[in-house]
Amino acid sequence: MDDLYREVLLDHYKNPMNFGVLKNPDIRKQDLNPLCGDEIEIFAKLDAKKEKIREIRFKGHGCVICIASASILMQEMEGIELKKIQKMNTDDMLKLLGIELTPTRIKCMMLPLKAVQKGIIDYEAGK
Amino acid sequence: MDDFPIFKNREIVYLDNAATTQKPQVVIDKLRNFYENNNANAHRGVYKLSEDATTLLEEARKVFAGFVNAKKENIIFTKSATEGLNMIANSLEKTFIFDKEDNIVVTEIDHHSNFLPWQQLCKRTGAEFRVVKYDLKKQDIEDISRYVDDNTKIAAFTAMSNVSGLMIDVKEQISKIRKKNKDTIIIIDATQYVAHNKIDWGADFFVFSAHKIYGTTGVGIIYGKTKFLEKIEPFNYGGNMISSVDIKESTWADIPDRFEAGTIDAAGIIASAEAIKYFQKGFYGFMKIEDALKNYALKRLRAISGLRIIGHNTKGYGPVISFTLDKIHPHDLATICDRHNVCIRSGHHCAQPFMKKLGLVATSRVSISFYNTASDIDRLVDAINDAKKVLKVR
Repeated sequence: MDDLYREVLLDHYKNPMNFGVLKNPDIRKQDLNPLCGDEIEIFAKLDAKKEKIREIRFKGHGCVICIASASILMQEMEGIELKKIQKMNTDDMLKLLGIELTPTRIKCMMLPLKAVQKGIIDYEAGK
Repeated sequence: MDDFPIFKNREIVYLDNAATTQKPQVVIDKLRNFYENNNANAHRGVYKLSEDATTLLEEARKVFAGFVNAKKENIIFTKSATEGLNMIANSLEKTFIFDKEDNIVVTEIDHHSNFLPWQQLCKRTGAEFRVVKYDLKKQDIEDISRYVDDNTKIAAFTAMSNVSGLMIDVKEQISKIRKKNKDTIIIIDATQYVAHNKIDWGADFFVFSAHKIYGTTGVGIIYGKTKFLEKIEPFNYGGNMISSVDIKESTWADIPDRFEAGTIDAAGIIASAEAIKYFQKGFYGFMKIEDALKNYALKRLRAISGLRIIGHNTKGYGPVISFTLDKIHPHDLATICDRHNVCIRSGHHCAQPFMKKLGLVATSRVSISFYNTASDIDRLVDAINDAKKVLKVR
């Protein structure tokens, strides 16, 4: 069976979870993969204490890796502390997706997480 | 094919020749030979070894000059075509006055390296940045000379698109531009074109890089007309480019040395001259092969459902083919092709204005050299069909 393009990832690609936009989000951030021009924009609402992600959505376009990564990541993030998200790295993402990637394709996988992390930085700075 | 050792060492179908070409054995041998027998800093020492290095470097310059029908002093070596274009832009800005009455004409299909230096020059000086449009219906750019008027200081455009392979009739455009404004400085990016056709334009400047024509990386070539090279400010200041240096004033060496401050990649230049000789020797045969392979690739790709080719509606295209495939992202296609050891390119190809005009974010690109074969194209098509299977696209 194909690891990178196995059924579950293709499903996420074709029918991504948490796809869409949120009105009046606490965090909104767009990021680009300069290599291919792929683009992800995230919208997040925080909990009452403003410590955790309550709800998150994304829109954009990208390859299977990028969109599947966004879909899986967004599901994982609801209820997670911002602090914890900021500590997530490449290894965490590889584990989450259960794949191995070449360095260039790692950028595709990391785009959604980068967008969230940059969004959190902007949010913290603007508080 | 046998001339290129990489194909003995790696089992690959290499179809990313627009990014860089593979190197024939003669080039690799020359590089090694230089370091083993002749290495010294050219134009510096008076001892035999340094003189030998200088002689080899200047012989290499003659080879490049002959290749583009120029004189030796009109050939300047730099590190890449990109650096060449930036250097020309910077020197022209230092030499001539640009203001908001002036304009610079570029095209929508140009690579970022022949777009950004002019865009930024216009931003700094207030000059108008005029971009020749790509006509989606005709799949061709509009007549460049139509954008030129009395105030056009510079017209800079590519001779061949690195995205679609579209070739511009440079000679015709130059003659039309000159009729409208004889003073417009015409600068051609020959980087994609140089490995697929002959240069005989009468442009004021043009640039290309050696690695795209079977030479080494790290070598860019600038051709400049004498009347400009004599007039413009040096690109950089430093070693080798001076006549005399004083505390208050300094004077510059003759052309082309004036434009080659610092130690240049003599070994790469000398090895790349071998590539030029190799290419010149095989030229007519190579071009025949490339044309036949391009036509074969177009025929086979067009037969794939959901595959759309950019341009190639006329014969005026080099062997570079960009396409999109329904429901498959170019990155995914390139990854699956790689599993078949087929190297193709995916992305925006450093030509975002062109991609935006096409309404695309990225394409897949196949670029052919004479060392490719029909079986390479067959393997590409098999890989594309496999990608459709893996990604479950009908």
